[in-house]
Amino acid sequence: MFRLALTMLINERGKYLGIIAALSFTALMMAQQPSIFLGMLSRATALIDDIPSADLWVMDPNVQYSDDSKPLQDAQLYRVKGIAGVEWAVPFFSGSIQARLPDGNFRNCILYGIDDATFIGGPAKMVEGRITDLRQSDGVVVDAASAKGVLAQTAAGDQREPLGVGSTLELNDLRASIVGLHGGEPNVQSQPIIYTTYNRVKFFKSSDRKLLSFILVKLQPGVDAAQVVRNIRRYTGLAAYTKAEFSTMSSNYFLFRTGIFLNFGISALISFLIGGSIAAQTFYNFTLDHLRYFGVLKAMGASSRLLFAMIALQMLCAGAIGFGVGIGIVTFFGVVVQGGTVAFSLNYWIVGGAALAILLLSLGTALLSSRPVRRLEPAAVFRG
Amino acid sequence: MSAVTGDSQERAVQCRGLTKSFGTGEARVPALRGLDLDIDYGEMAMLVGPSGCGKTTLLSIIAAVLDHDTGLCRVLGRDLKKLTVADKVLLRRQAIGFVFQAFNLIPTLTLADNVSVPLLLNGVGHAIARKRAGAMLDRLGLGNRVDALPSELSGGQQQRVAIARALVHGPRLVVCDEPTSALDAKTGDAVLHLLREVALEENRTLIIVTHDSRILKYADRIIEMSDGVIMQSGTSQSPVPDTRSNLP
Ligand SMILES: Nc1ncnc2c1ncn2[C@@H]1O[C@H](COP(=O)(O)OP(=O)(O)OP(=O)(O)O)[C@@H](O)[C@H]1O
Ligand SMILES: [Mg+2]
Repeated sequence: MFRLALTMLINERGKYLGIIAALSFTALMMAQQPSIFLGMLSRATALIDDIPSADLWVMDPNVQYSDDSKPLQDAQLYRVKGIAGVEWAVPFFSGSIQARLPDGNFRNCILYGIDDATFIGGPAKMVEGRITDLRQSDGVVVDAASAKGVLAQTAAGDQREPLGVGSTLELNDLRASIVGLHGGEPNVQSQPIIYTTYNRVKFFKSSDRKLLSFILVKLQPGVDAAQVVRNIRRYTGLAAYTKAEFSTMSSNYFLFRTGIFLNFGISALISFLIGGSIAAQTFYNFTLDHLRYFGVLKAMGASSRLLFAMIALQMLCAGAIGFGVGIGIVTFFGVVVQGGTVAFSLNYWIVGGAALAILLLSLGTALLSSRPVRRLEPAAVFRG
Repeated sequence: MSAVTGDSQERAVQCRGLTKSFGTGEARVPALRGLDLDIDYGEMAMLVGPSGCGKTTLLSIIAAVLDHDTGLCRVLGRDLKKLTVADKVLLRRQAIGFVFQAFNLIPTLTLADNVSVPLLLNGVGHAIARKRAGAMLDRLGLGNRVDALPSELSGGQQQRVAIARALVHGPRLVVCDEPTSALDAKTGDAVLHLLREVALEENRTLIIVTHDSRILKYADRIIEMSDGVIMQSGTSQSPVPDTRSNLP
């Protein structure tokens, strides 16, 4: 009977494809929206996660997340260096800057300034050139995705010409030459990420009095991080967090203080409601169209349980196919946007969540659709 | 086998003082009013009578799809009042074949699949069910159309498929409600001819509700109902009143 149940549904081609399309859409949105969100979330903490050697991040006590910079006085760096248990401490600048492209367009960029001597705080991965090339005069390193993307010049005839090593751009009207490309992703707002040395930031942003956003600290082996954190607070008045703490702080800020989580949540929910109700409605109609035949089966001795199983199987099958198609499209989307400016991170949790949503939707729809069948009197087959 | 008073022999259908009403209070409609009826194994009985006299109601009770109110109704040796819902489902699945006025073939399934349904419900494997369905369709002259859809057939052909479906699992009782009323006279006659030929094997019992006096000649017995009771019961050779004159 189960084979026939599937044949019944599949041969109702129009409704069948409608149900599959609606379920595919639902699965797609249920996976794609969280993936983009998760991609953005990982970008929100990328800076912290990509500097493995910094055990502690020291900052103004009012800072709430990694892009929230409240500059410190340079003298604080030396105070932190002097605290017991600190192996080394280096300055780090994080801020924004206007880049002017050779074609005259402006772009808002994120500028990171890293320690001139050690290059600690530099990008996790270089695609072209080396971070030490920043020693060259006016040197900056740009993320490869932006160099190909938003920073690419749109000079003659809409032809996009990617920036590369040797290209120049103007930061705050000052000449900067690209000495390397790094493999980091653009930030949450898809802004290009430019690295230079801490001292060169002073040159590019000469109008700013204070440029010390964070102090990156390496602990001496075996010292108690909590104790050092307390000492830093006591002697400098600054806040210090371990890498993990600051990373969590930043993602929590992104999660709970911005509307982004809510936006993605709502759009995933709306997709679920729209796609789900279209699929449920179509399937319900399919069952109603076949009510007379379910009645005939009932009269011929099909138990209510068997009929429910047939209906559930029909819907679960449509659900499985819709899920496969939806996730397939999302995966394809993920492959296409990989390494580009779109944040995207699909994991098993998201796939599992979408699967669960489709499963519950399918079971709910089957339950709903089997109601009229369950209520059907077998004697009805002889009427009208 | 429990003996029923006054009967030496077990019958296929035995009704005593059968009543059935629909609705309650003011809107109460008595459909059967203390009806007595016996139908033997191997008999082809036709149930006639004016519209609303209770034919379909009686057929539904005998086919175990509708519960009666009072009285006795024994079908194939079983007292229907004593059966649970599940028992009745099993009785219908194993022992009763159904033919409807509107054919009621599942439109999205092939003829072979449609005819397989009673076998599949009885747990027969798909391959064997298909084979037996094909053989039954063959006997009804549709052996070359097993993979066709019902919509590709004429009404008479569809009713033949429905008959194949009603017989394929070898039920002891076949119930038909107006099997020819959606067919023209010639096709109806041919369908009845075939039904009589194929269905009456193995001492099977057939009960056919009909308004169609042209097919009465196929009946072993004609049972005339009026207002919820049996008026007259006789063989087709004996003169039977023209039921059509009672119709609106
Ligand atoms: N489900 C129901 N609810 C209420 N009344 C019903 C129901 N089924 C039948 N009746 C009533 O019971 C009576 C007998 O109906 P039934 O359908 O058995 O007649 P019938 O002899 O089959 O008529 P027809 O020749 O028109 O098919 C009628 O008065 C009918 O209106
Ligand atoms: Mg009737």
